Amino acid sequence: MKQLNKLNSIAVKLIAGFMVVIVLIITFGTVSYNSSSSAMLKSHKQSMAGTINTTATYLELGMSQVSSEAQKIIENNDFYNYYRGAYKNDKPREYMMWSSLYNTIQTAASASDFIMAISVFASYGDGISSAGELKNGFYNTFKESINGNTEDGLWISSHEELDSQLNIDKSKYAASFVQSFVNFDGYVVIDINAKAVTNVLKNLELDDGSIIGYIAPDGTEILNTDNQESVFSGQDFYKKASSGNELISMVKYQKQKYLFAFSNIAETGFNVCCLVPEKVMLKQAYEIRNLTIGITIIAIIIAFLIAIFLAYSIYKAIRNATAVLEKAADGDLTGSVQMRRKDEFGILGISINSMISNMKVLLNKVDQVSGLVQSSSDDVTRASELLASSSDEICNAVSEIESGTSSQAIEAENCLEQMALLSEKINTLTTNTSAIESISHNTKTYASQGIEIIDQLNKRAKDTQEVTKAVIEGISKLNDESNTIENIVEVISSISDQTSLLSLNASIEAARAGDSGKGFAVVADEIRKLADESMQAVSKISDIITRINSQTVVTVETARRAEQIVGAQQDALITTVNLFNTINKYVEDLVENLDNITSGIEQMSVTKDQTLSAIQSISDVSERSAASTLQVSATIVNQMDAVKKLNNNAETLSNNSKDLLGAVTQFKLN
Amino acid sequence: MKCMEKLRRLSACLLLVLFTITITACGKDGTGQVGENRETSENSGLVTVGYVQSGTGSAWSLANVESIQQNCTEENGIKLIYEVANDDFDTQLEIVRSFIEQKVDLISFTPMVSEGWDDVLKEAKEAGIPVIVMDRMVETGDDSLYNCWIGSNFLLEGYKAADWLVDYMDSLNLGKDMYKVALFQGNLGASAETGRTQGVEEILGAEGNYKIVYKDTGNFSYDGGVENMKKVLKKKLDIDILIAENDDMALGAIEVMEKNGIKPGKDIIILSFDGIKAAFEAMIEGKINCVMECNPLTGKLLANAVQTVMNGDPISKRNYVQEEIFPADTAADYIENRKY
Repeated sequence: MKQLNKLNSIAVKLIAGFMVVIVLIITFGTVSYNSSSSAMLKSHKQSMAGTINTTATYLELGMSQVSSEAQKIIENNDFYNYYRGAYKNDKPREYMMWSSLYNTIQTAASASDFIMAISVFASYGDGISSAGELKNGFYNTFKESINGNTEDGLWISSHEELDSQLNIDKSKYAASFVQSFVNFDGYVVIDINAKAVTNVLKNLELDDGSIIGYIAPDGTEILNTDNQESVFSGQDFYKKASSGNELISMVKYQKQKYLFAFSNIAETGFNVCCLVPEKVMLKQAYEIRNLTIGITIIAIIIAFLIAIFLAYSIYKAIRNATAVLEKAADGDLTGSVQMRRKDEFGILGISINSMISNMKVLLNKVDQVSGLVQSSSDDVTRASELLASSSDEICNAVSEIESGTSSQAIEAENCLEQMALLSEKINTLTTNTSAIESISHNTKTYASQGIEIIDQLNKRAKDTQEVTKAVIEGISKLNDESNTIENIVEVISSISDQTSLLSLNASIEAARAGDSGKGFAVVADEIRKLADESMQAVSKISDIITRINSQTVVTVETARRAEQIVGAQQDALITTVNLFNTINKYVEDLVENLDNITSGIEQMSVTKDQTLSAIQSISDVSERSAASTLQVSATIVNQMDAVKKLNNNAETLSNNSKDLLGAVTQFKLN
Repeated sequence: MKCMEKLRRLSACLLLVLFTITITACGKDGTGQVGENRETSENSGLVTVGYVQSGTGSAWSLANVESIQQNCTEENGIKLIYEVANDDFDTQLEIVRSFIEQKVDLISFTPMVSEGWDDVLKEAKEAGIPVIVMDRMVETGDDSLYNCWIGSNFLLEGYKAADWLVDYMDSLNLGKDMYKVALFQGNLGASAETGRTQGVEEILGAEGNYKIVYKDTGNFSYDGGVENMKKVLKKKLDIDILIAENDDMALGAIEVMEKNGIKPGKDIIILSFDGIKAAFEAMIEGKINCVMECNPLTGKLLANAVQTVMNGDPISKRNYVQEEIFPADTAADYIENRKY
């Protein structure tokens, strides 16, 4: 199995696929974090500026209440009267007035949470304070400690002298308003409750970690936190803002980024400012970021889990399928994919299973077919071997035929030559027979003339003797010739036998050659017929010649007796004449026979011609047969090659089918 | 496909869990913090005040207690532990000590007597428990032993009452050179008695045409008023004006006057202190000419002072309750509000 590149594994791909989504989530988170953080910073800047200004306005309102309260006291005639000494000489009424003023002060001091204490004192009379008792002569002490114009009211950070008089902790009041009476030496001092300011600051709904401070001109701070350390007054950003610059800005405080907002409280010299941690302002943005990070981490984990789950299930499914397929590749088709999945892998498994079962069926079929092919190819091999061997035999036979045909042709040539000779002899015979005929005629004539001449016989006895001698000689010669013919006939007979045999062979071959040999068979049949006829003719000739020979012997005997009779003729011419008549008769018979012979010879000649043409035909046929045989031989050689090829192919087929069988047996089907 | 379905369900569950975690995490910020008032020792956020009244013998005392109970409420941030000493000084001291043991946030009491408080006040101071003295002033060598006092300005009462009397007598235009005045004092030495006596005497003395012809204590009681009035009649002092340092004594005197055919409020101008309901009724009947209120409704002042003290804010050592003077012609307007 090809080792998978790990980068190509499904798990990695799935995870990579999920990672794309996660990257998009991260991008989305980052973008939304950035946009929301900048929007939040902006809105926080606006809201903080608003909050600070509102707080300053609120404190300003409280402080203006204080100053107006002071103004009321300044304008109160009872104070004027009392402190101008209007009841100087009436102590009880002066005391009543003081008590009344005391109640006024108490009422005024308790009227507002903003006011911690109101103190009124002058160069004359008893001071009044809602916070305690004032000793006489305090006015001068206080006056010396005050710098600045108090006629229209003055906001101060603290008043140590009053504090020590009333035993007030400086941290209890946030600011103090001092105003001097108009027509006499006296002061109204109203302290603003630090707690009220603290409450104002603490009740502001600020972001966690925000520091809002109320800063007195002397740098004293009231903070919304319980930490009493100075936060703002030493800072550069506070100094800058105090001088009217950068009332709202991003600053660094204790190594952290803060939004700083500043506002003064009208013309009092007191300021309100705050620090809001950037991280708190961006808390929601951080939440978005953290949520995004959290979701992303969880998404990554889930993605990994899902990817691993998917990859594992896919891997399992594929391994399952692969194992079966690998087994199948090794030829073991016994396995099947066991998957309960209902998805594509399930279908794959089912497909693999059906493929394997189909393969099993196919291989079973192949097994069967290759067995069949094996046996068939064995059969074919055997048959082709047989064919090859019989082809060899045929080839040999054809070679034999070929050589036979060649020799037949030669024989036919020889036969022709012999036939030519025979023809000449026959012609000669014919000529001789004609001569015999004419001689016989002549003999007849001579015999008749002999009869006539018997009379002259005496005279011519000697001539007769000589003629008889000549006849004997001639018959002897004829006898010789007959013998010769006999020989020739024998030759012809043997040729005819041979031809007949050949034609038989030819017809057998023709039969073997099938359709192409049909014509040849006809010819061979004709040849055979001709040969049979030749044989018949030859036997007739032979009979004739035998009879000639026997007649010739008789004739010779007769001639010799005639000679002897001629010798004794002289003794009896009549007998001679009779004899002549007999001779004449015999001659006639002879002639008759000669005619027969002639006709026989003529027939023989015809037969000879026919035989000749037949032989010619045989020769031609033999030649053609030889040529055909050559062709047949060549065809047979080709056939042999083809048979060899067939044999080879059959062997190859056999081997292939063996291989196939071997291959098929490699498959484990059960 | 079941497999896919399972996977889908699984991922849905995972997402749900994730979502829940996120929501829960976000929700944690929303929980409010338990407010903690560092000035209280109690978890309730209330200031526990142990208060012991010397006694509830008089209508004024009952009104005083009622006012304190009405103002020192949990709504005003105070958990009041109220005790009564049944006019027994030792009992009162015991109760104050028990408050110290209970570690209350603040102790308040109306002293049975002015002296003898130093030891127990030192104990309270050592325990870090602030003290607010009510009604009667305590006499101590160190006034830092208590945080403040709330009560009436008896001198001012005397001033105011006498001042009204002078104006009233001027307005009557009786054409007399000298008015004879009888003064029924309260328990001698009590701050109410000393302040009122001083105030009246200073004002009338300054006028010159008033002469106190009778001055004795009636011990703030009805019977005391009866007795003193009988003495006045017996001595044939022929007084023009009766100043009783409380209403009970005035009412006793009226009874004697009426028995003797004297028309109170007409034949004898009657000026009284305290302002109980019976006095207002008598004013409407024309039997009393004026009542200088001794306001028992110090509950609101106490409640405010408790908060101020507990806040550590500066407070006057003496805190006077505002008191009105009620001439007879205004009595009908106020009688409805008089509960004591």
